[in-house]
Amino acid sequence: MNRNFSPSRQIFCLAALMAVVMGLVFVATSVGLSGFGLKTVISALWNWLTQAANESDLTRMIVFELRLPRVLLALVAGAGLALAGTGVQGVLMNPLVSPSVLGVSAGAAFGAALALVLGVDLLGAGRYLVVANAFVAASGAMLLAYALARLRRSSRETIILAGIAVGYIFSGLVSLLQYIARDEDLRSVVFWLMGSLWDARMETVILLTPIVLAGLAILLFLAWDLNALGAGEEMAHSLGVRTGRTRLLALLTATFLTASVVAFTGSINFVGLMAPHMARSLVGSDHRFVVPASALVGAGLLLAADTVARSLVWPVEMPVGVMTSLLGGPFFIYLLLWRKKDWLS
Amino acid sequence: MNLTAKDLDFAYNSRPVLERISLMLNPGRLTVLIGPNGSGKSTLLRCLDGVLKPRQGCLFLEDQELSRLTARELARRIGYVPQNASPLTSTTVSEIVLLGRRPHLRFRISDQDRDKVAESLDALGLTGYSGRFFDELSGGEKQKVILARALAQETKILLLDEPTSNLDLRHQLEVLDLLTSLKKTRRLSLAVSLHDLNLAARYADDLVLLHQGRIAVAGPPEQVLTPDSLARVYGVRALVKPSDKGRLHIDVQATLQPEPEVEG
Repeated sequence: MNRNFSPSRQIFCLAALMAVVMGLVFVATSVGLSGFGLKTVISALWNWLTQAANESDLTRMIVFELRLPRVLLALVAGAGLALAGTGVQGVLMNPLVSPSVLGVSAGAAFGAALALVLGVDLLGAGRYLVVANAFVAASGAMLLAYALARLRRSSRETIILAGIAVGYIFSGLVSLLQYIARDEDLRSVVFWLMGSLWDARMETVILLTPIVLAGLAILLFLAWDLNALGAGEEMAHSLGVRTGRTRLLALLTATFLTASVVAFTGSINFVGLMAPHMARSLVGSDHRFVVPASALVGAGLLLAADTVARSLVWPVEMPVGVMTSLLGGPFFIYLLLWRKKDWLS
Repeated sequence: MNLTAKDLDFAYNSRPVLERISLMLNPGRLTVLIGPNGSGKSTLLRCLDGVLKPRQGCLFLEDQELSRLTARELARRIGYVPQNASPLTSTTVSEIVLLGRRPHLRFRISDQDRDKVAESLDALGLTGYSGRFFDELSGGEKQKVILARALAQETKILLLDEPTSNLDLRHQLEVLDLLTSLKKTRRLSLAVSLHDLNLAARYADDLVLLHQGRIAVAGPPEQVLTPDSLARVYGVRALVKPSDKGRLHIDVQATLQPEPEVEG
């Protein structure tokens, strides 16, 4: 009997995922233009840990200022996007939604474009102009969608539809800004829209890590509520879940996670859609395990995609956003055609 | 534990659905709600569970007002099985039954939770099913799993919205027999909505006949199920005769033309 609930299988899966992600980290840090292999990287790391500073400055710079921040940013950003997707899918009980469907990405794009094209500073953020704008507009888009849905009865369908509508409006505004932009501004908007990790800095990683950890903690706190919601809203209610509060908290968490990540990286779609599915197929439907598994899958997925994107067409780098979209589109079709039972209710 | 409703009014926006409903659910008794489609049976059950907030009137659990309890406290006292309660994600039987423990646990699953789940599965003869996927089960099995979930919740009051609607004859009897035995062994206060009047007559201790959001008649089956009340509420001509074992048998003969007029 106990066998059915024994979490050992799920814990094994989590450990295995962690091992895979660690492996990916080593591979990713040793792939790059400069041709430094795994050995150089490991010895650089080891020397750093043991304080034996006998590396050349070049090695240290490449490892600590270029590769490591990028790898770490991929991990944090991937985990953040995946957590956001898990929260939204869980609370809206729809496995085909992700924060980008709900207008967050379009909002972020609008904020960034506003900064890049018109130099409008929504927060007075100076150096972090684009980042702050993207964050404010992304959060604003999602909150607008939620408020619109609240005007009527805020069923899960109205939130999704309101999010799509808000997304269209912001996409239209982005197109308008692109149309009136000067050539060099247009280039930077287009580049932002593709989403990439090339501008990875340690400060970004340090800033995003606590945000992602907080998101993880909140979603774990909501795990049983999300499980109950999976059995239907009425059922959840009769199990003592305050569905309105749970929904708002999960949506806010997802919004701030996505907004924080894409503000730094630009639009990276589909990680939030794909990771929760992969996590569920590994650990089942209990959100106490789906949430951390999804974060690990997201981290690994984005790191793998970015590593491939920067080494596939040597020596040109592809933006990772292009890569995830190329992966995500077919994945979506796969869900639509072969995993019907996940979304036909 | 008993649940009392006093003068409940409920409306969806401005459309009144329930008016001046008063009733009491008692331990060890099965109350069956009957009435035509749209008469307010499901809405009443949802009000009793606290899912819907009545516009007027009060609900008492023993002598405590329902609205003063937290969501979790409420979920430990009142269980509710909605109609067609099908989970949206693919889950196993044991995971669904485990959800019934949600009002009792914080994060970890304790041994006690595991035992209660095993016990509930066992009570419904589902022990061998725990690892099966819910969406691969038959309608009767699904209904039993949902019931096991409600049992694992360990509430003293249990509300079920048409628990027999998708079941064949045998499974209908099985589910109602089971509820009857639970009501005795666990002293549950049960409220069940049913469409089949013969089943209602057979299993109910108390019957509540709803008509356009009001209680038309309430009481023991032989008081409620009369040719007169059936004609008035359902618009049918029916014979009601006691069969052997003292049960009532309702024999519907024809519809009355035209449909009954709206009262009041």
